[in-house]
Amino acid sequence: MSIEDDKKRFTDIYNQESDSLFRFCLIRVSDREKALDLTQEAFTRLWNSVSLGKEPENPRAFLYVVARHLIIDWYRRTKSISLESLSDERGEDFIILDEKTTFDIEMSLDAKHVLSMLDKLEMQYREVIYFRYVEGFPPKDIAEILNLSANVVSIRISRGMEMLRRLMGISENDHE
Amino acid sequence: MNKKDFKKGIEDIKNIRMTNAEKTHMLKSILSLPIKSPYMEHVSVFTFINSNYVRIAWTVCFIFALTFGGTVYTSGASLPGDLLYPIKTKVVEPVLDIVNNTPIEKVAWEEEKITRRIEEAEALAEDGRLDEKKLKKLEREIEKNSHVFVKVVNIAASSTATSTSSAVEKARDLKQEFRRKINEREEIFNKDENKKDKEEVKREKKTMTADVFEKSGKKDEKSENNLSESRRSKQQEKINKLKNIAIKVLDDEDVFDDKDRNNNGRKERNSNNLEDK
Repeated sequence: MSIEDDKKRFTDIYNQESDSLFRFCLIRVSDREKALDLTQEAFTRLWNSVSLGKEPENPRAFLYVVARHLIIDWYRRTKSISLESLSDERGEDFIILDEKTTFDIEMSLDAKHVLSMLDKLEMQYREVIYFRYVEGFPPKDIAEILNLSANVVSIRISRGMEMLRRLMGISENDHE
Repeated sequence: MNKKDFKKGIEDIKNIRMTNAEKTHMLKSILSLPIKSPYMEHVSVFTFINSNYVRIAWTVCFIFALTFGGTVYTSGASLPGDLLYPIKTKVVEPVLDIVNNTPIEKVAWEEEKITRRIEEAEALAEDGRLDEKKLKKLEREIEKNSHVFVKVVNIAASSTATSTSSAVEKARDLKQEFRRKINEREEIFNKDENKKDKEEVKREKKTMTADVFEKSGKKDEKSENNLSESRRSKQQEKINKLKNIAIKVLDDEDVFDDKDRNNNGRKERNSNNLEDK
């Protein structure tokens, strides 16, 4: 395969995933420049793999796994708060929806409200709900990103949604 | 919040995007990165440190440092004719010549070098290895070092003194101090030698059986004393010769300084007379 083919495939992935990955980073770090840096770094690593002929089977999962680790590294370097207090026992399900900083991002009131509601959810439900309803990823992809089984993801999605409805005061039959 | 607001909120979040300019710029910069060679293995720093090559390099360095350090250390006690003596005089001392770079340090170091040569001669004399060849060599070294000593003394004196006359005085003091040290060495050496001779006679006395000692008694003691006396005086002569070389260089230099000073004084007086006339 020629380098041009590699570039084309990579550009397709980039066009498809760049916005969502950037959004994922921005919501977590609340700093546009930093989010751009992290997005670029994740795509650079993907490009290195593609150019060496080691393209991952699921480029989307690859990008999000890399981005999550980059965010955790960034937090370790910059934040003085204990990481252990923010991560679960495996230290991987690390999601940041920092209320103070999230609201600095330019977005509508509804969007801010949804994010603040997500922040109230337990850690294990927060990310699956975000990936399922904001990014629209299928449970299989979420499972790969979070290193879980698809079944566990599906269960967490339904339980998480139930909790979210309760928090927001929406009944299942509410169509408004 | 109802379901509609929730959906609207989700849609709003989805609208968070990069601008087209940001997107294009990012893609460009990623694709312009140099492509890594597939043959280039990624080696972490820790892997490199633990690699066999580094271990071998460390071991070689360690062995070299140990051997070289040991050689340098051992060469310090070597004497002319020893295998390590050239390392002492041709490697270690030139390094110390450079290390001692202030005028005062240089004076102390040159003094030390002359003292070392005298000590070497004393040690050789003690072992009975001070032959003419070695003596000549040490003489040459001491003469050379004494000239250097005078030079560095003058530099040190002029660098610390405020006027020319005080510099000359200072240099004279330093030379005088050195002369005194050399003479003191002579006294110490004589005392040591006497002590050693006495100890030797005592030891021999002990080893001799009581009968033999009774018979040969005072006669042996006398002859041994005479022998050691003559040996010591010969050795002392040689050592004194070396010391005198150093002192002679200093004296010659003082005479030369005096002449120089007299000439300068005469010139000054003449010029003053001419001015008066």
